[in-house]
Amino acid sequence: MSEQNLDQLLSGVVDTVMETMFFSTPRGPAEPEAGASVLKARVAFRGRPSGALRVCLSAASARILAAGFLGEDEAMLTDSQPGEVVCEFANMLCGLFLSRLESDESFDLNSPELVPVGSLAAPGSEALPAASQSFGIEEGILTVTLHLEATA
Amino acid sequence: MRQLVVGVGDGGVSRDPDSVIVTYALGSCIAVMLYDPVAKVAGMVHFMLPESSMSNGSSNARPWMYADTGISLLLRVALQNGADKRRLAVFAAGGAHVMDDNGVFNIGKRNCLALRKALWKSGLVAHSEETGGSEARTVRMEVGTGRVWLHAPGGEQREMKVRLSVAQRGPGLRDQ
Amino acid sequence: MALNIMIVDDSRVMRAFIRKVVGLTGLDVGECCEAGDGEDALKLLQERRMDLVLTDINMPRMNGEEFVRRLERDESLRTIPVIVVSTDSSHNRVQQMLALGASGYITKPFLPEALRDEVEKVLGVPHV
Repeated sequence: MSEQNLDQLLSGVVDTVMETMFFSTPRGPAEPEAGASVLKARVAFRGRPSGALRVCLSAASARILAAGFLGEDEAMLTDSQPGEVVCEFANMLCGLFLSRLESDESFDLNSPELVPVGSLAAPGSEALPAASQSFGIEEGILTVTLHLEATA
Repeated sequence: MRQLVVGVGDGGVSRDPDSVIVTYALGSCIAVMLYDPVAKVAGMVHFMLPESSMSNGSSNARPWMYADTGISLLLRVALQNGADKRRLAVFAAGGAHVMDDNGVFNIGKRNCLALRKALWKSGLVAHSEETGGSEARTVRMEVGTGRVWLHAPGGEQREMKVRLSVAQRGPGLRDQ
Repeated sequence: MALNIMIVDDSRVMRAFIRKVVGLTGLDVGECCEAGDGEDALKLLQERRMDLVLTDINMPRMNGEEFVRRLERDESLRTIPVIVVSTDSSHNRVQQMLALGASGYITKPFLPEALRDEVEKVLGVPHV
């Protein structure tokens, strides 16, 4: 994998996915939110390299994203739909990001999963992310993080 | 030919085959047009802003002003006048990237996104779209034929073409 | 005659999105049924006649690649047109799925009108 600006790549991918299927756009860079009621989703992928992409956003933002994606009023959403939409959002971000990597490798994506709120990684297991971007969106902040496993 | 003018933040529907619906000076604003080629129902909205939630309560008084309320109202009125949603041809024009008061090219792009979002929520997608860019546009729709003409300053008038599936045109309809 | 359409994806909300796009085509849709993976889809196909299948690739139990292979091997199912809807946009993957028998391929994220057009193209819907 050649040297690419992974942060820039991540920003571009977020723009494309949000505009294409979520009818929304990031409002510019922002500082990550701490302590807010959030939804988190994770998509692991296998290839060279392997890794995982994570998204984190407020529950209110997730509802707006879900309403846009499904073409529904927020009041009509079921309890599970925001989480399911955030998972699909993470899935598309990951797939598009990997397709834009300058790499001849192919990747396999796991199914996206919601990360339970308050879950902590085992001490020492969380390496610094390879890329991380936070954006202002409607009703909160979206943070997208990419972790890559070290190649042998 | 009778001319029905749709102003900024306004909209309406016609079934008069001798009329042309027209709106002028689409800068960052967007005009959405619906046409049922079988029932010959034509409608247009000229919206200025993306979301009625920006309105502090005035969206009830001025629903045509916003993408979300304007497009859903346009569809509702068209259906009330005999249009069949499955047959509708959808046109959109405008959304030029004009600098706002903060010196940001923002509102046109936001209107373009709001257009797509509102159409999607209404179960519609544009068949012909001329949005973005930097020019103000004028559009006119002939109620009798559903033909839509677009004009930009310094340019020639040209038709916004649309290809509808036969399923949308209705069985047995001869080409116009 | 009404067309029966099947949507195969492990994401319930993606199935809902695709279902909504199918509604944009103006086609006379009879039954629009859904399956969470290839295994469930094959079971449903034994019970119901379908005119079009839209399938993801990455799914549990039976993925889209194996599902399309199985369709192609079954004489009663191989004529059903299949459109792949996937995040994988690699040239190799697209060619592979088309070689396995898929009639169309669209990459997520996609504009609703792009999928609408692909459905109409694959079904050979005439336009005026």
